[in-house]
Amino acid sequence: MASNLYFNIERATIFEVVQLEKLPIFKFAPKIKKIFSNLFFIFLLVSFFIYFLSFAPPELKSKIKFLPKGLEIKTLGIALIFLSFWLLFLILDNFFNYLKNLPQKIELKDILKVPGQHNLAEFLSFDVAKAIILASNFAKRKNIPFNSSALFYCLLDFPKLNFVFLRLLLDKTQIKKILENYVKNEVLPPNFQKTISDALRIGIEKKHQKIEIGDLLLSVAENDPIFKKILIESNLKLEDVGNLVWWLEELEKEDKERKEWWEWKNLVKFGSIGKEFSAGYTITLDKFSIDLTKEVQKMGYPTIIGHEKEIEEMERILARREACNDPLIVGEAGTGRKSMILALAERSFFGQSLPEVNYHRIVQLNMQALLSQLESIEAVEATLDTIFREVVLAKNVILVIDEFHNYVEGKILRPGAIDITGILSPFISRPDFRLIAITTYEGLHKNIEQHPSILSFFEKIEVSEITREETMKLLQKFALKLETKYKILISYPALRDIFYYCEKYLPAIPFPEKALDLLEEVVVHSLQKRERIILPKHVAKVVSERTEIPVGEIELGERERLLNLENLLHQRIVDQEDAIKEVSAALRRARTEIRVRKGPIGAFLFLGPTGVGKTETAKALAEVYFGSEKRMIRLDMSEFQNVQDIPRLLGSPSEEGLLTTPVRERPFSLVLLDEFEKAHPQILNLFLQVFDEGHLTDGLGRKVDFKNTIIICTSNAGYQTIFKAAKEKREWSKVKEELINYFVEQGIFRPELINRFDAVVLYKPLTKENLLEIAELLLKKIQKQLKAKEIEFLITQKLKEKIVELSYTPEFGARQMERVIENKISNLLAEAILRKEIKRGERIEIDPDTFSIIKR
Amino acid sequence: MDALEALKRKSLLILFYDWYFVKVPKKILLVFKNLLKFGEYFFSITLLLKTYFSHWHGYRWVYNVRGIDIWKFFEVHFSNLISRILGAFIRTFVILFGILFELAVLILGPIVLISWIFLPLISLIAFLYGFKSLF
Repeated sequence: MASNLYFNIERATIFEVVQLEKLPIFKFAPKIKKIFSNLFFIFLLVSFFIYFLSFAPPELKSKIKFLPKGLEIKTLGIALIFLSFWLLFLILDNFFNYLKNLPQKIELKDILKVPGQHNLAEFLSFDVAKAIILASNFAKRKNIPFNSSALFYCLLDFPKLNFVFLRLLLDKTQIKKILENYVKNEVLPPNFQKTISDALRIGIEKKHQKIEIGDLLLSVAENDPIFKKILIESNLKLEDVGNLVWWLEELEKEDKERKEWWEWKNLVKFGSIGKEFSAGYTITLDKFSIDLTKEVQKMGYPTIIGHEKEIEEMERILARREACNDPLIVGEAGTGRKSMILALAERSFFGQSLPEVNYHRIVQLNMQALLSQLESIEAVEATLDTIFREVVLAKNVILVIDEFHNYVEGKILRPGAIDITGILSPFISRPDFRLIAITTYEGLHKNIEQHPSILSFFEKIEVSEITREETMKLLQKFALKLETKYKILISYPALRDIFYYCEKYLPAIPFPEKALDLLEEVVVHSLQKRERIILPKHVAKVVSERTEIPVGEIELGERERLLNLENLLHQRIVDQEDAIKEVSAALRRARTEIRVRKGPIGAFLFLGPTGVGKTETAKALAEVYFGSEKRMIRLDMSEFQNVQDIPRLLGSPSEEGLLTTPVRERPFSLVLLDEFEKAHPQILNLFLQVFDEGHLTDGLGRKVDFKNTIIICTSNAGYQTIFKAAKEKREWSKVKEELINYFVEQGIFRPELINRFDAVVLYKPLTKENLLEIAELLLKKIQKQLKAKEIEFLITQKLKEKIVELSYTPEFGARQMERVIENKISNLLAEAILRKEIKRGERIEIDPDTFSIIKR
Repeated sequence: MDALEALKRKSLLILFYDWYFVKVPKKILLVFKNLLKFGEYFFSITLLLKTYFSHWHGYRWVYNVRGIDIWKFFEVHFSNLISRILGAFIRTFVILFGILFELAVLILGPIVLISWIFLPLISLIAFLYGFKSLF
């Protein structure tokens, strides 16, 4: 595209306008205009003041005799002279503004239809043309090719772009120094043509009439090697610059719209008294309700972001002239369900909705106030009846009931609860009674679906989370409000991190609520610390406190931990070299994202007889990777042998899911599924999606995210094969193959399930040497505890051997060892300490034959 | 007149003429058109005329007595009559205010337009008058 375009700034009209700006009369017109207008008003006031002094009482008049006669006429004359200059500069300033924004007859996209026909320079905005002229002069001065770096250097001087650089935390002075250095010492590519054609492409994408300064900045960010380097060093992306430019353009647009008071959108904000007169009174409703239309007015008509499709669907349903014209909004709290209603109120108020919905009041029934103020159920029912009648008679009310499920009770009525379906039924069937009910998935399944007659009048609208772009836009808008309120600056990287952390560490709460909440929390936290600029580190701190996950550390320390995983695991696991190696390698693969699917961090199948360290590896992994053994969600899959057990696992309206709820609440965990092979095949099938997509839908229709979990499934199926192979000292890779074939043949695991594991890990039966090491590990734990009491505990080889002898059985591995140590050693030591037989500073050992304490 | 073509030929005066006598007056007319439309929306004169004798805020009484009750019959009709009269009375005021507003816009519009056209002259007169009053 670049080579075909014709670009000659000196032949463009805007070039002339930029030259005109150099004339002082145009350059200083806005300031001079202001000075003359102020002087005019001052002299006018002085003139009136002097004139009114002529009516003063004679005593006062005698005191001001020093004022010359006809002074008021003279001051008025001066005021008139200033007026004439003010008017002159008013005309000049407005005319120059018109010249700066000369309208274009051809659209930007049309330039590409006949490349070479139009001079691209004709389609530059005033600022862009000015930047290009300045950059061209700069390049000539420095004797460098006219390129993106020269443009970048000049763009830094545009006050309008301070907004972008300031929020990106980029120091303009520093950048200028870097650029000057580069320009001096490096050979930079002559990429002006490419930069300007990319700016054109961006302008076309944004449907601009001309190439705007934001388009040029974005293009420079795309093309300039120095800008790219600065962005990488500052941990920023091109997308971040794009978002900030969008933000700046939106603010400019809003500002322009606000200033044009004569535009219909601004005038209509005054409302209509005539239309109100034709509507009926709603005295009772007003007492127990919140008028959302008035709320929107109070909020200054905010731009509601997201859920466009859902809002349009809601309008279509409300516009129907039939009984089924009531939308039922279903979604999790925090997804922006109420914002949708506010958007509807706004659109209805401005007459931007459908004719049947326009100029209506959107009123939310305050059920809590109603229930708390009225004493009996009968009184509540009577009042509700009056309210619903008023809604019908008013003709301009669309009623909203939030948490609708609370007032539609299930089959069994809770004490104190109210069921309004009886009073609602006669009204909801009327086309002139329009109700928007808001509920959750849980409420829908638990309560509303129990009343099919009521449900039949509603049309469901499912509200999902808003997108990443919409959330960022919402965060930006909210950030501005907080900045004004608390007099702080919220940097863009902080906003970006809020989104990132929310997505990663708070998957249980929906967007946008979690992001907005977190932003407010970060702001309050920073204010407490007397910080005036919100940086990414502040966000990381709050997230760490909230989730108990060391966010900043994990990002930095994770690499070290992954590289050193084998050693860290071996501090707790004896032998099992292959298994540990395989887990570590799979985890590294998963974290560096060198794989195709988007499942959990890692999914492993641990195979081996009991007591060989499968669970211990899981515990060690939870400690090493997530920081604590407590970050483990453990389920015995032998409890899920029937299809009927699925609701217990995934949850249902009446119970929490044993798997889904803990994962929703603690998404950054290790999930240990013991005796995996014993679960029902259909339950095993559920994990296909988890391993593949990284999420599962729970019994209430909520998406549960497994992307931050490590899933370990253990099984001792086929342990006889392992024992046999160990005795015969066969090669383990072949044993694994044999074992997998055995599972497939026996129908224990389906091949697609086995294939979805990151690794199938085989645990060898423990040898006597291994057991001695395990005994030492366990005894060392006791040694450590005694050391804290200043008692030295000596571990002897004989003691270890005795423990191994007492606890080892081929079938149970080292499982008994802990119990034996507890019975024979821990109990003995506890009693001795209580009887004061061992004192601080003593050295002891235990006789392995009699299990008695020997002091040394 | 194509503004761009004009500037290309550096005829700033022609461009000024186009802006001053065509573009800005058009804008002024658009502003006053919006104001007229807003007046009709705010006071809803047409709607109020259509519903001139309607019950005030939909307040109406219904005769729901079985058999004949003359007193109740008169009471209901009298109340409804009062509601309608009250409605008409208040609507009259709003309609009058609406008409006044529209008239003001209709008068103010041409004044602003003419003032704009003669602004350079006004400026010159102000200067001359001011200068004269100084000496």
